[in-house]
Amino acid sequence: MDKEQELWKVFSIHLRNILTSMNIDFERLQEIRLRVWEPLIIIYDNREFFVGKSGRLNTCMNDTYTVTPEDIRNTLDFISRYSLYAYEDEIRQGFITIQGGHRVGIAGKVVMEEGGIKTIRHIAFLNIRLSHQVKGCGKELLPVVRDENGVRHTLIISPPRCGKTTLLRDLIRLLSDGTEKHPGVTVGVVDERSEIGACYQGIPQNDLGKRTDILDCCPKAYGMLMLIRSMSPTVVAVDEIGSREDIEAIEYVINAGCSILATVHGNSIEDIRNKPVLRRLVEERIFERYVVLNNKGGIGHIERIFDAQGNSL
Amino acid sequence: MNEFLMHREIVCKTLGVCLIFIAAAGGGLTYSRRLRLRLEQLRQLQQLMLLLQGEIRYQCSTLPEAFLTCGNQVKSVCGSWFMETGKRLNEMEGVGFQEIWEQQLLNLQKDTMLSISNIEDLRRLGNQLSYPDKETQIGALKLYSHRLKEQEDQLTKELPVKMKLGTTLGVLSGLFLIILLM
Repeated sequence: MDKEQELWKVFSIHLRNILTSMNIDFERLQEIRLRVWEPLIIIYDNREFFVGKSGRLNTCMNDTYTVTPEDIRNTLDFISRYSLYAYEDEIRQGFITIQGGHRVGIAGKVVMEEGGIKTIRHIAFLNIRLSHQVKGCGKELLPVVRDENGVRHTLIISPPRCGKTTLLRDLIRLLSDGTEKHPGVTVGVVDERSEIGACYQGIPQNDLGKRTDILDCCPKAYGMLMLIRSMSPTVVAVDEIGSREDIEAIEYVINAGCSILATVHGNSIEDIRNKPVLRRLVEERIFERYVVLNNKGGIGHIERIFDAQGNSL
Repeated sequence: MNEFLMHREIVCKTLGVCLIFIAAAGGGLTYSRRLRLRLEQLRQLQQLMLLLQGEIRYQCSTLPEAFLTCGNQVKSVCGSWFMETGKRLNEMEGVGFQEIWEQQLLNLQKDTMLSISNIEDLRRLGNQLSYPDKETQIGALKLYSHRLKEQEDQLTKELPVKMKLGTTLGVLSGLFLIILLM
């Protein structure tokens, strides 16, 4: 079954009929937003559209389909495969990753326990963010990341929805498979949110290359150490670093002689310098390359590249 | 000629008596066999529930995955039913869990010797298989397993008496019919 059909299957039967009758290019579909008693909205080609009952896209609220509580309930049933209990931890974090690597953000009434989030009840808002594998999008960046001496420690900095995970995924594939200039290397991926490999029952749905090992759904800090001890990778790749534990694990990876490829939320290298936990990465010149992305020239547009000292290349 | 007709009548009557006796006794034996099978199927369900709890608690499997894995491990009529249910849930045909569960219960009723009360208990379990947290989910399965155990104990206790009663009643009803018809 192709990725498109696979995705439609997680929606309630009403929504499924409407969404499949939309006349769109699936590859350009970015988000589908469901809010109880509000119109069905999609983000397509960086623009917001209301979806009509017949699947027609409108920029104004004419003949739009209103999402019902039943739509949300049934969609949640299909997303969780009738097993919300199996996604207890993910719900606590506010999202579930589904087959195909798409991320479903959830919001509703948050139940607290002992100062932490226990669960989310009465889920009334869903945001389905589509994951698209863009093979070849990392080619331009490959000479920055890889040279004859090996793979440089590289940090991709980008705001949400600018394609950092997509770029990281393709870089992993290119490094793992190798090119005419450079042979492939063993890559270990810690895929905490199943977004990079989109593993389903342990098998990656996205192509991450021939020499890639994936630790799926594993916290990054633990996963990096586990990979070093067990899989002897040349490169370790992680998405969305940010905690103190992540930084310590990155130092461990570098001290073990491996290269690190990571992404982080931010708009610029200054942003990273201003974050208390991440500041150390820049000050101690842990990374050799910083790649800043934005979506001004389309998703995944490389704004600037910096070296370890913060000089623009 | 008369002697021949009389002889034929006697043969037919004897044959009829034998058939009535075999049918009645067979009915009694079938009843006993059904009880034995029910007990066996209750034990299969218990084993499946135990495996299901393990799948949910330690593997964190979703219901379709858990049903398929557990069904594959218990080669029996209930195991096949588990696999069939897992496959249907996996298809995500746009139907809710309750609807699929109800349809699958009809199949189970057809294929097994489980009583109406056994099926009703499974129906109640189906209503409880969509809790958002693992502990409550396992709690529901434990409760159902406990109920299964009670049913098994009761049937095990009653089985020898019921089997004897079924066989005896079958034989006696056959004899009664024969006397009545003679």
